Amino acid sequence: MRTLHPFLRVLCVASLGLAGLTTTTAARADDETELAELLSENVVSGASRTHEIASDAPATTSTITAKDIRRYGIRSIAEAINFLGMGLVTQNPLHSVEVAGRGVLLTADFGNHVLLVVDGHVFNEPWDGTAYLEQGAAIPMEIIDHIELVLGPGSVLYGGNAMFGVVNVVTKRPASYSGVHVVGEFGASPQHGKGGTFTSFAPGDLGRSYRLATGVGHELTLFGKPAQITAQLELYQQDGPSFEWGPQPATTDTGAPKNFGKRTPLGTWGGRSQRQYATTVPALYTRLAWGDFTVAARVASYNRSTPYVNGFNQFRGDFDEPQNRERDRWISVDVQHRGRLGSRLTTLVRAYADTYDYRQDLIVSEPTDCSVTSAGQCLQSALGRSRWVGTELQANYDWRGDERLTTMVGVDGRVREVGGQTDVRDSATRILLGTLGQRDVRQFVWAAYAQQRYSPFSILHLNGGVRLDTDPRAGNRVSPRAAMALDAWRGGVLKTIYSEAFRAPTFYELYYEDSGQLPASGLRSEVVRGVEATVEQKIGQHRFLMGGFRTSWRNMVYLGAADNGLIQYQNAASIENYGYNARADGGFGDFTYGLSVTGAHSRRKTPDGTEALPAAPQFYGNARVAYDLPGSWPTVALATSFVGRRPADRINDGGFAVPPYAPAEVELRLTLSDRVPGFRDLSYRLATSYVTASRSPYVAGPTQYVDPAAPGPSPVAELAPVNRLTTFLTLQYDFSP
Amino acid sequence: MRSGRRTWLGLMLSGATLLVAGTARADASVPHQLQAQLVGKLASFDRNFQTRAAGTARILVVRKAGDAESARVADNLARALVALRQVGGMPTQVDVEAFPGAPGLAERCRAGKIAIVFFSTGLEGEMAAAGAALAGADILTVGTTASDASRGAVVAFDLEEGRAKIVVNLARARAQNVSFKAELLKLSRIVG
Repeated sequence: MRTLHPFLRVLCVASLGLAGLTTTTAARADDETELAELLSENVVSGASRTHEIASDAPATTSTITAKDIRRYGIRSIAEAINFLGMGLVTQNPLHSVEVAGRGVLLTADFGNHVLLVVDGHVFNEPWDGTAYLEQGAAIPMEIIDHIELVLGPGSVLYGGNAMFGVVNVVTKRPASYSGVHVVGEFGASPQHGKGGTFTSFAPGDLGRSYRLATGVGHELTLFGKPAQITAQLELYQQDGPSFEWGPQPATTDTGAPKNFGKRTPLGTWGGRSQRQYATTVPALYTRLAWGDFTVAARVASYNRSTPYVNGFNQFRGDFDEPQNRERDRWISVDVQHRGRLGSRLTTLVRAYADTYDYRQDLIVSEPTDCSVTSAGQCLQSALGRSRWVGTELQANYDWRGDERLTTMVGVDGRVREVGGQTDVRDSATRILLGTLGQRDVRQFVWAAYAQQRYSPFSILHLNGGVRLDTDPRAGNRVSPRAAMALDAWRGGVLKTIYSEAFRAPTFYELYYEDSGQLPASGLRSEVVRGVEATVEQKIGQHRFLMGGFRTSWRNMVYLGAADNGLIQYQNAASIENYGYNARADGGFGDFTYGLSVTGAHSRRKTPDGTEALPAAPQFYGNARVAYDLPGSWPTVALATSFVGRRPADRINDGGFAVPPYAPAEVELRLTLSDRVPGFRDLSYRLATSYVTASRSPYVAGPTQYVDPAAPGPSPVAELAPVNRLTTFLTLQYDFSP
Repeated sequence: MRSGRRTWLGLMLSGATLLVAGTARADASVPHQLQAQLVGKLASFDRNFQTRAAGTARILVVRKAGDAESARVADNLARALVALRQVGGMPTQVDVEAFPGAPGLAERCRAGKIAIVFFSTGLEGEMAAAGAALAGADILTVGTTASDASRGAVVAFDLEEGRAKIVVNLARARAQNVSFKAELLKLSRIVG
């Protein structure tokens, strides 16, 4: 019998060995891929107020992690939304940001169409429904574990304001924030000139921001029970950069030159603003978990000045006047207890209390702009205040004990006291000249909700819910939702969702009045109905999503003409909107990527006709890549946020001969982050942000409206500038146990 | 009804609920199905699992006797493990039993050639003793909440940044002859 040549024998053995190794290697690679896929599965709690895999949730969600917040140089919830989220986008008018959802933006709403929830506590306050998403949210970013963006009408479990959706913030527990942490951050921007040019990089001309923070995370035993505490105290301060404005000529109704204070010539608004663009936010957030109790508290203040007269919050006021400023203050406490009755019934009892006040001071040198007759310069102060205390009871019953058929029912009741007024004082003597629109109301508001979740098969997840809200301001509202998620094939999920949401008119919309505006006590709630369908595919760590949506908005509150030439909030508008969302994200080893895009078509119908939504971007999204360089090299991350061309806020009612549009805009942020070499517990984050556009979609200055009958050439709308270049450095020292 | 009375009624209802409600213990925030899938995968990263299992992945889910919640969680975990069909590349055999005490558990694992013990909720106070009794045994122990890894389980699960996180107690792993590959440890939080 012939035998194999020794060389061939070795070759055969080697081939078999290689085949085995390859198979084993491939199998191991498969295991790693599948493990990584499981560990990249998002678990969300905001959509159904139950922890579940995102693909099973009755909403389209996107999750922004603490790691990505740090890696991409994110400094606020608004930036997280713009650079890392899907479906929502914010715009910065050099004031608190305005938020848009799926192509719908309602200017001057101060965030009252999106619900901000932090650790289960709703942050929207009842005076004007405001939720801030920039640094004014007063939630230290280092303490955030993750942010869930729950898109679409979401009143079914949360009540009013959740019309664009819910921004659900979950803070860290000590396991991921252990020890004491000290943070210092410094940022700078150059002086800006006309047309978005950079006119000076001299140190004395730079705009600056500072942030100092100290945080703690600790596990302990308290009165014999395990306890966990996380807390962060911080101070954020920003001053500038300075911008150049106008000049815009302005006269009174009698043709006399208007007085905008001592920093601009009489009859002219404009020049370089150097004193009226600043922000200060001291904030403390803490969360204590003790046994079955969780206590969260926030104490914060948001002080800011906006450098220009505009059409959304500052209709009058002197130019570059540092006393023109706003201030919000909050104290919030939330106590939750999770209990169990038997093996199938869980309970949540929550008690909460908040106090809030708002103040806007405006120095007005033009007596005809003072709401009360004034001989000279007046100080006009808009004041708002609210306090509310409430309790929520929730029960969740697992009928079969396997979490596939569960019923949640809940009731939420609160007492709120809301008030407001406008005081006009002599600015020199501070003598009160008059008070307008003073009103204080105490109201009881309650709601009841129910949600049924059913998975008849492991691949099918059904969710139906309804909520009844009673609100003395606008009557009762019922908000339903029905959703289905089908695991149609391996890694593939099909979802369809129908949902509704509402927003009751705010105290401000109902009762505010001044010399030019009437109160509107007959307002009804705004309502949105939405339907959407999505397809999601997971391949290893890579996820892809594509979906379409359609929404219909009714009873939209709209500042329209009333009697005698005055204005008044009215339910006079409706919006029709449809579009698509798409998203892709994933990673290859140390390289991660993500991108999202939203395209929409939105039209508003008012008594004046059908029109585009002012300032609402119809095409926007983001893209990002990051790479953990090997060894002692840093992580490099590049994030971009883009917004398409969009009409300015006065496009429909400004009467400008050339309709004002803001150009398309791309913001690029490059971030380097790592441990400081040689310092184990000291880390840094160095970032630069550059914006391609020079103008935002907000008309600036007293020329907000053009009289078509006025002689002479029609003025061009001046659009507010954009801070185009910022560089900042963050250092964090971690005293770990 | 006046708002003041409504407030008091709400507070009384809340208080009544607090009085009758038992403890919820820490919710297993990572969904049970995902925990089971993770156990199914991480067994493949234990160098000694193939030898330990010897052809069949025998999994014992232990619950606290007389604790309805513990029994419910145990049943959910068992159901999810059975649905996997394979753990670490081997067919599964899943049993649910009441915790028989630390010595009893060690004997049960030895006699039954158990490869994985999955502790349901309610056994937080027993885990340290169970871990001591299993020292030297060739077995992977898993807890449902993050702190179980510090209490005595080799592996537990936490929810971090909205995603599941594997928590590994390396000292306990060494004591129980569990040798995880670096690829797994890189993705995990290490305690102990």
